[in-house]
Amino acid sequence: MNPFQRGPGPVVGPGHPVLRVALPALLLAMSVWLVPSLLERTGDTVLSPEGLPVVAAVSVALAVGSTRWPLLGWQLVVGVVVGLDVLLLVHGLSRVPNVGIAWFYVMVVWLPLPALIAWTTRGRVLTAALSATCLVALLTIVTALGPGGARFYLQDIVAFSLMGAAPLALALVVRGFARSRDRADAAEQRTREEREARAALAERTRIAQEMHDVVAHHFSEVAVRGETAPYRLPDLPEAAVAELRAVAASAREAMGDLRRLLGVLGSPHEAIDEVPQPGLADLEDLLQRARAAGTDVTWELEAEAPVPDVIGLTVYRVVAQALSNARQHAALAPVSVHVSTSASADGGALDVDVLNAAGIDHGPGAGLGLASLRERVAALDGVLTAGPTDDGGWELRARLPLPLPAQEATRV
Amino acid sequence: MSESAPAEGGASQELRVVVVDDQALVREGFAALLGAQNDVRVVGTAADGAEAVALCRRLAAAGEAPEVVLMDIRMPVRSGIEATAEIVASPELARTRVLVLTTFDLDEHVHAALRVGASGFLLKHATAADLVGAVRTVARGEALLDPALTRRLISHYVATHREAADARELPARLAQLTPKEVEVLSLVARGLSNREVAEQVYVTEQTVKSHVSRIFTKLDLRDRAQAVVFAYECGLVRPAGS
Repeated sequence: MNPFQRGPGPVVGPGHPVLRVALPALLLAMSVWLVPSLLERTGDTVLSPEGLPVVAAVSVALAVGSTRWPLLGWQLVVGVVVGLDVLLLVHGLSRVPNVGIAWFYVMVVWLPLPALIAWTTRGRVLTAALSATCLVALLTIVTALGPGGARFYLQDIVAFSLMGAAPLALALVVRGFARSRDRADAAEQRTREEREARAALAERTRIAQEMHDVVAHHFSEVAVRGETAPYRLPDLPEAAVAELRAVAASAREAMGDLRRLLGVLGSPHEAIDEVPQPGLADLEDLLQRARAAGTDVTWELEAEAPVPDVIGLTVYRVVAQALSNARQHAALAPVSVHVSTSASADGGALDVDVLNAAGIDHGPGAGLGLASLRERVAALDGVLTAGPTDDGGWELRARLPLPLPAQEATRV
Repeated sequence: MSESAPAEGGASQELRVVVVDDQALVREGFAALLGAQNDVRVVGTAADGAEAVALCRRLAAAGEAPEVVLMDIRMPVRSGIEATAEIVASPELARTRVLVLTTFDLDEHVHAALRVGASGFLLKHATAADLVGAVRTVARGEALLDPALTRRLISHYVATHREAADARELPARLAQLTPKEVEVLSLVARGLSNREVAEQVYVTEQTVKSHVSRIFTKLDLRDRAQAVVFAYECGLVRPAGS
């Protein structure tokens, strides 16, 4: 659904198949049924019975056009009706040949148009169109009852009004139903979007927390190292001890700032696990456990370049999620995991490739897994692609840029 | 951590300390730091919770039960929380106190560790002086470690994690105390040291000491940190602002 179109839309758009077929059929039927009685009533001689197909053809053309451009069709008809009304008022019906025919014809044709407009437009346009229609109808009734319209009878007016009003009323009722349905849909859509946004935010916060944990761990290590160095390394000069203490103090300060940063993300730090955040070194263990649990998994782990812990954590999460997806959507299928690093002038990259053949699908999961992985990988400027393979399996690939070893060295 | 006098029983008696952390650097660093103090002897180190429990039992069997265990929370194999629970439940380690080490201060696991019997907690990146002071304070047991932070932590989690069964039982346990003891308990739970309590209730420090030990016996509490947890959970002391 288009998010910019939140309010209730038209029930059916112009050119809807129902309109394209039903409306011309209705108009054709009415033309064929009404025009002969009209001819008889007015005693007009100009339009012979042979002209009927022409009238019918014009009706259908107008109707088809109106289904495509209802407002234009309606404007055309209203214009003609007003014109005829004025002509009748000024000259009287008998003095203008064929006007009666045209007048009746137009009445017949324009009857369903307000209904059509009610179906296909909305808001202020609809209000304006209906108001104008009522005005024109009133003018026509006055004209018909006036001196020039002596040959029209009250019963005709009532009949035409009813014929026009019935489809209009029906259209308005259906429209009302559709509008409340649209509103319910829109509310549901909003709820769903909000729920998704909340879930995404919670996930992002979790990712930030995990990364915070890894980084804070490093800082903690720096602080402990600096603080205990004088005890571990005998005979340090006084200046070196002071320097190391200052380093430890800076690390403590950085940890405090990190905590505040996490607070900005809107979530107090909740401890995640009782065990340290996993990394690349834990990957083998993860795969062994998956194998022990019955997954037919093979792997090649060829990460050679030094991999920062934050990237290691992400790789671990990617592989864990991919294995869980494979179990969910391709149970019993063999899975292969390939992790490798490649060096290049700009620092190289780490590639994760998890491939599984087709297996037994246990149905859709929560659906957040892949989205969460995308967030994680994107947070490290990486790219994640996932999709079906030609043989009905699934492949998930992630490429994470690695920093230059030199940069790494200066950073630590 | 206000006092830094040597442990009760005189400076001649060394405090036996065990350091438990999965990071070798932290383990060795703290061992070196503590070992450099005159009144402290590091009797062992362990890299995870299971190893820590085994080590403490072994030391106890050799008559060398540690007075203080510096315990990291997040460790592989067995977490510091499980190890703490097991150590405080071991009869042969009745005098051993656990000082929990954490990378992050006010987190849920620290609260969990206090609930299962840790005597205090300390940030891993504390200064050397704070670390040594904390070990001494916990060993002595006369004052609560970092009272303000401990109370904030406990009151934060007691508001969200009160367990229904405990909440019903606790007031009954409180009824075992004399009015004087209840008064002393509530002051201890606010983080006052024995000396400060003595000033408040106009008795000698020695009297407060005996009150405190009777309270701990009646309520089956290990030390002051447990007293704070108990006082908050039974509603004797209420979190500020609630």
